[in-house]
Amino acid sequence: MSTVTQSKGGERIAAYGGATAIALALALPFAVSGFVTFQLTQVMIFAIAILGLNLLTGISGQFSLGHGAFFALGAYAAAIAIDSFGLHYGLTLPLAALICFLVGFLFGLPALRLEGIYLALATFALAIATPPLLKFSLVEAWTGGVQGVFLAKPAPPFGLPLSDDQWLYFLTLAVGLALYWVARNLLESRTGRALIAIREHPIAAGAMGVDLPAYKTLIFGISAAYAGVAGALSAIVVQFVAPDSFAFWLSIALFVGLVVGGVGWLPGALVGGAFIVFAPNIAEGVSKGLSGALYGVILIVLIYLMPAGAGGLLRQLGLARGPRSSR
Amino acid sequence: MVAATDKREATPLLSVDDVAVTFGGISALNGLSFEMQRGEILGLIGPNGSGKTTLFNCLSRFYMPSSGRIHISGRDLLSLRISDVVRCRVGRTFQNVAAFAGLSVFDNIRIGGHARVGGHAIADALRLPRSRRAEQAINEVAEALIDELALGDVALTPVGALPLARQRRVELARALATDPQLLLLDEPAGGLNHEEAVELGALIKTIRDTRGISLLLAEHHMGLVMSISDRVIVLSFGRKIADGPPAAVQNDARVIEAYLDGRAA
Ligand SMILES: Nc1ncnc2c1ncn2[C@@H]1O[C@H](COP(=O)(O)OP(=O)(O)OP(=O)(O)O)[C@@H](O)[C@H]1O
Ligand SMILES: [Mg+2]
Repeated sequence: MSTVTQSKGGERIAAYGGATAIALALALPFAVSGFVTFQLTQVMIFAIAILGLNLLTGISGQFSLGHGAFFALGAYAAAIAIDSFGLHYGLTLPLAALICFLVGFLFGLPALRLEGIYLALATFALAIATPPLLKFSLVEAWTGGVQGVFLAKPAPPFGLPLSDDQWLYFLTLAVGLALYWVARNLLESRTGRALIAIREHPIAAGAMGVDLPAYKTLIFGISAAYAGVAGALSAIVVQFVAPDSFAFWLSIALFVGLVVGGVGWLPGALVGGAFIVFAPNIAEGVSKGLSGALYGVILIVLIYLMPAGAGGLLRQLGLARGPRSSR
Repeated sequence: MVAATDKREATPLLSVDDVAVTFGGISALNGLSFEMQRGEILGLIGPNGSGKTTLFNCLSRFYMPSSGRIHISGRDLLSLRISDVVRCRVGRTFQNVAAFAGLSVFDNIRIGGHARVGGHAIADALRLPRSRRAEQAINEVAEALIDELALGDVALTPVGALPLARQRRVELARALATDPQLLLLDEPAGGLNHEEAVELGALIKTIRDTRGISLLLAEHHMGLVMSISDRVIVLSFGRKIADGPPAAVQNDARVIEAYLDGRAA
């Protein structure tokens, strides 16, 4: 009997790449300033949300321009749980995941009727509706209305010899690695193949026994849960949530991050997260007045240079995996 | 127990009873009735637009007949959801190849094995032992089919990059991976050259003989249909106009007329 094996060379490069990246990630906070550590933490937070978006868009082929809404929901769930109910900040992560999974799953039900651009529009409406909902007077007692909610900065536990920023960095890194592991497992399992089958040929997928409505809503929920965990981490790390932190630009930024990192290539999420955090800074550094326009130029140049994102570029260079996980 | 077994033997594998399908005024199937026995190769022929693919799409639950009943091993097929059709062991291929073009041959066939093992997204997400066992079972099914259908040399090639004959074979392997008792093949010889079609005929016979399954074969390739079918049904404008052994059907005046009309039209 023949044994079908995946390409070993590509696998080895990926393993070395992964090990190097983790070693670098462990060392970085000791080599850079507290502020840069904070920025890198934000990169990872956005990367977690993009990872979730990638499961939805890159793997199952559904579009969302509204993941900022789930990010906001996770952030507010965490902030309110800590501020109003005194929950430990660590426990807000599973809480945010659960709430966002349920809301994402429920949103996914009507979304089943929508395809491609229409689904993108429906999710975009969600993103637009988020800030006004958060300011809504009936929920002001919890959300703090326009003022938002302030939180205290958590100190490192067990007397770890770390600064607050370093501790939050390592917490985010650990959560990010765990969620990356889960995403990878899903992708390489029967569930992942079912999702890819839906993207590649929904009719044939159905004929192979893939329950389309079940998988589409499931992945919507999982994807929203990723965004929710990212939101909760962001609330903890920034120690502040306010409606206008979650305007529709956040949803757009996550989508842009997904495209820049490479749709369908999971590690690309980190590239996308870095783009969200640093591209506006770079643009502003060059010219304050024209930063918005420069951001656009940077984006256009990147898309022109790597039309399939960072993942596509690596694939062309033979350094990342083939069509299996790409679009 | 004996009585129950007898009853099972007596129930036809597939029974299609007075099925009608219409698309806006056009009657694609009209009062179609027939039965299929276990282990039978049933040829389904008829001019273009006579309703062959429409029948397949009813059996896959893509189309809902406006009237009529369909039973598979005595079960009401028309109450099933699309994704449960393979779980009643009805597999199929498509007239216009419907492979997962961007995925490898191996992955295509593994997706065919989707419904064969139980599974759970949580077990998959956490790579629990039961997820690994399911994965191994699916891999074994896929590897065996790759050997059986001689696809080893292209196992990791994206299906979209293969010539048509190979793509059709991948689709066949993928359908077999669902472990069907009834396999629906919609023009499996479409686009194949003469040698490839002859090879396919032998393969279909082998598949039936080794697995004891039934095949419903919609084809325009008369040589193929007549040489491997136990029985042939002829459709014309959605109606069954002949049903019998290949030799009898071939010489049926109405069949010849239907095909001549088809040519003339
Ligand atoms: N989805 C659909 N919408 C409208 N009309 C349809 C649809 N599917 C099939 N038809 C019509 O139903 C009739 C039967 O078509 P069908 O595809 O079943 O024929 P066929 O026997 O498979 O033909 P061929 O040999 O060309 O594949 C045709 O008139 C066709 O135009
Ligand atoms: Mg047809």
